[in-house]
Amino acid sequence: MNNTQKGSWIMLAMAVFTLAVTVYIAFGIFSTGQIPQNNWIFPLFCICFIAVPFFLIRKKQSSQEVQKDERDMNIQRNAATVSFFSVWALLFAFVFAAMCAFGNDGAVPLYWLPLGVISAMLISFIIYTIAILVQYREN
Amino acid sequence: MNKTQKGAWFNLLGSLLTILTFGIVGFMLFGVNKFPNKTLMLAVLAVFFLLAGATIYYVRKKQSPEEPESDERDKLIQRNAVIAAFVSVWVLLFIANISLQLCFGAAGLIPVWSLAIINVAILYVVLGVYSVAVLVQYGKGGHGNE
Repeated sequence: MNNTQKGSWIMLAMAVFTLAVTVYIAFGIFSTGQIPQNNWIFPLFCICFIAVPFFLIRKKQSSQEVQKDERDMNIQRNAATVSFFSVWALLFAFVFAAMCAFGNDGAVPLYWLPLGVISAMLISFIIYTIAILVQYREN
Repeated sequence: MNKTQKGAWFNLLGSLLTILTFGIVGFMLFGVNKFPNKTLMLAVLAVFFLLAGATIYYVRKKQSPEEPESDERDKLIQRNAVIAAFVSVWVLLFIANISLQLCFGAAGLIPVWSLAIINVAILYVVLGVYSVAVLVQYGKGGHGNE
């Protein structure tokens, strides 16, 4: 497994974790009206997604582990293209969902927009990493 | 000039024209509170059709026998431009969010139909960024005919 693959697995885990935390916080805001107070989220995030990846990506797990080459860059570019188109699909799906929920003449609270954009960003990261891993599996 | 470059020029012109039209219609509807003149709208529509026709003609037909076909380098340039456009989507979404929050406050409300307009406006700006990224790369690495 090279750096790109390891990075993709870590990014996938990070995006899923952050999406889960975003849903948890949004659920807390909508049910209790305030941001949930959990002191364990930030330290867990730091340990799992900064310390462990730093060690795994910097240190080779075997002497046969390859460095990054032209093929890896090509795979990343293809994944970015897939992710780019998925962002548009997600943004238009978000507008469609808002139209279904509030009606065409309805009004959307502005604090919904950052939640929508962050969710779209995280889902597009998940799609990006899955596209990278699928291409490595196929090749 | 190859197909990718010609396509990028037409994309750029089309997106600039669309943004300009959006701006004029938006200003007349919300600024002056008057529906735009029908003749003006027909003229803009005619320019769009002319541009679309010219795009199809020039992209399909070679202007000289030396005009190269699309190759691996063109694909690479297009992929790099997609990455630039991808980054610009997030920057524009961030700017749109911040400016809306500053204008109306976090507890403010906006009409649902305006979300579709914001999305389409961002789409056209991103199309412009993509075209500029393609043209800049050709500008840096030759004229697309070597």
